[in-house]
Amino acid sequence: MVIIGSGAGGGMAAHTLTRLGVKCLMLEAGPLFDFQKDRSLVNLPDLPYRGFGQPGRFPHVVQASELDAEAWADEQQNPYTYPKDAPYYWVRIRMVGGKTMRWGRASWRLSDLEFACKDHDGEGENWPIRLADLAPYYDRAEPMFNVTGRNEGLRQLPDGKILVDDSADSAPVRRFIDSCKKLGVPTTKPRRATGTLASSTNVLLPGAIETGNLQLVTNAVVRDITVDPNTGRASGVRFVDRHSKRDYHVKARTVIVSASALESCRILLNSTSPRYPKGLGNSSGTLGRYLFDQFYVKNTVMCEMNSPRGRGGGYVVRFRNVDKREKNFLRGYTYDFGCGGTPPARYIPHYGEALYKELDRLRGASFSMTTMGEVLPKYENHVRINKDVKDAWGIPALHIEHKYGANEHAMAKDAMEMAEAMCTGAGFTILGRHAQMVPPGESIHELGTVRMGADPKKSVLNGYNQSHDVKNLFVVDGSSFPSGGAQNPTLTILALSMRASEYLADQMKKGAL
Amino acid sequence: MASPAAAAAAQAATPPPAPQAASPATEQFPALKVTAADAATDGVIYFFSSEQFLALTRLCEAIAPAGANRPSAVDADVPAFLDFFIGQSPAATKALYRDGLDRLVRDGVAGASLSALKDSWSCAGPADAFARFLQQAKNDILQATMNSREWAAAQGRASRRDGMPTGYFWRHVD
Repeated sequence: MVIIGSGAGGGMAAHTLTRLGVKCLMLEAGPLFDFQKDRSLVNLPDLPYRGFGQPGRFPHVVQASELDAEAWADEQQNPYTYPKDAPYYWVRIRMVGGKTMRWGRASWRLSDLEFACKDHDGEGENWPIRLADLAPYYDRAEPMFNVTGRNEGLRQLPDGKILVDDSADSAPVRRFIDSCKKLGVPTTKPRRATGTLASSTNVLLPGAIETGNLQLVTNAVVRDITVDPNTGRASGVRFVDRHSKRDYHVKARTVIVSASALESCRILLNSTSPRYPKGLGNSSGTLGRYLFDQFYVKNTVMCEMNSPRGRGGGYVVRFRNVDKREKNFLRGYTYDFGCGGTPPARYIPHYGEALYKELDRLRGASFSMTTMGEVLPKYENHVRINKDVKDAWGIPALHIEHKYGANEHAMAKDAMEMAEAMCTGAGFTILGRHAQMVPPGESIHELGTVRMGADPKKSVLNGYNQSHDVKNLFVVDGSSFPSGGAQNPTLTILALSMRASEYLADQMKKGAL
Repeated sequence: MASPAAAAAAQAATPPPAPQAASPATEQFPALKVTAADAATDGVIYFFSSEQFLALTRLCEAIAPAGANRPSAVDADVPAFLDFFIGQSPAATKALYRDGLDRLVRDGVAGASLSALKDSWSCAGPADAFARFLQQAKNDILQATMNSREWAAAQGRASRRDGMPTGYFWRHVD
């Protein structure tokens, strides 16, 4: 068994399979980062760029700070392209643990509004599975990551096996929740994995290595997956050492790809052979297609709270298109909200002494909301190989085309107006509002391009994340999503990977693989 | 003289002694206090012309003046920092600053030329390049002031707490 990638999907596959006695070799493109040894406390003013970071180093990674710049994949070594008028912000981490090293830890379940989305409103494709299929795996993934939150019994946001957060809300949060109630909008506590170390590196991989069944190879940059021309099955993986550039080939009985949504797709598209000229497992022609993510409008409203002020935050649950059909868009959106900071100086139309006076007056007075909206998967939003551009190891790069459409724009505008109504109803003063979505990719929730589906003519994977064409090939990351709602995707990746891995082990036992 | 093979066999028969734990006194490496270059001296001004640099200094005084428990942007060496920082920035940012400062050289850094800083915020930002320059300069000057060691020291003096902001730095791992 070869597992490509050590993040949420690969980590869970290794965790699950090694416990079932399956010998696994994991290939990770980056190094092992030690949280104790490799991080140190510094005085921020001693940083050479005073916290601004080196200019121009990460044109597409707004998350990179001067403190953690080394955590993000280098954009020069790992190039990609996009149309001039449609920038794509591809945010990558290459180290053991993948993006679980820096995730926001929000851990929501998808609902049957997503799994059976086409049944609900006629748009897109249903998943080949339903919540009932995945619920037993969510049930096990949540306790592993110590997810906290509050179950609300809402069908659009399924309850979880979570540690109950019954902490008291501050006065302004209570005023905000009351205002939402008057508008018929449900809210809940944040639901997230506990601890900054809730990563694959800490939760999933140590136990897998302890079984003696996992070998973890770092700095192994995968080129492609090789195929047995007689059987059409995957036969192994070719990779190159990141430092020495020495090439290797490892044989595999089964290959699990979980290199992050777009890297997984890139590996499959680069794995061409006479038998699979359009990429591995691409008889449907949908490999690389139906790229989507979740759009963010950061600080769609920034407000000044009225007194008494307070701290804390929460989550506004999807309320659009749940029980009735809205006028001008499909699906829905959610918000994170938080309060107790100071509004950024750009919202304060003063300078000099007057600016400082306003900043003092507004200290701890901010209340802000960020929209997270569902993005419709569309055939035309896609990735393909750009043969003219290669990475530092000579591997052809991706060309990414993703534009938001009328549905997303209408939703972002509605979300801004609703946010304003919620805040005004709570007695807050709006300092600024807008509906400008961040560029596609920036939410780091990229999904699709290797989607699962019941129909092999319209999808790449079946309901067990297994290739329709190549039975010993599994893809267990976010690339497998046929739709994604507005819920942060990691928990669903964990559950899907666990389910696929148990199915795989069972198939091996039965001799089917 | 024993043959090399016999010597190797003898060596194998008597394994080397286990390494002794060194005494803490010799094991401990002294922690040396080092000083960041820009705390010890001034950076060389290389990007802005002397007229532009003077206008930038005036702009810093106007946007972030000193107050009780608060250094000015000039106290915090922000003009020199921005000369370094903007000098390394992408071409569009360089041009925005140079053109904006040239206009301030021409018009002076008076209340009238800074009026765009009193416009309320919009997501798209002002259409006018000079107004965009002023908005960005305001944010840069304020952040560079608040992230300075002079600011941290003043906050520390005011609050009994050590005002030094800290954070975890991720080292390069190859």
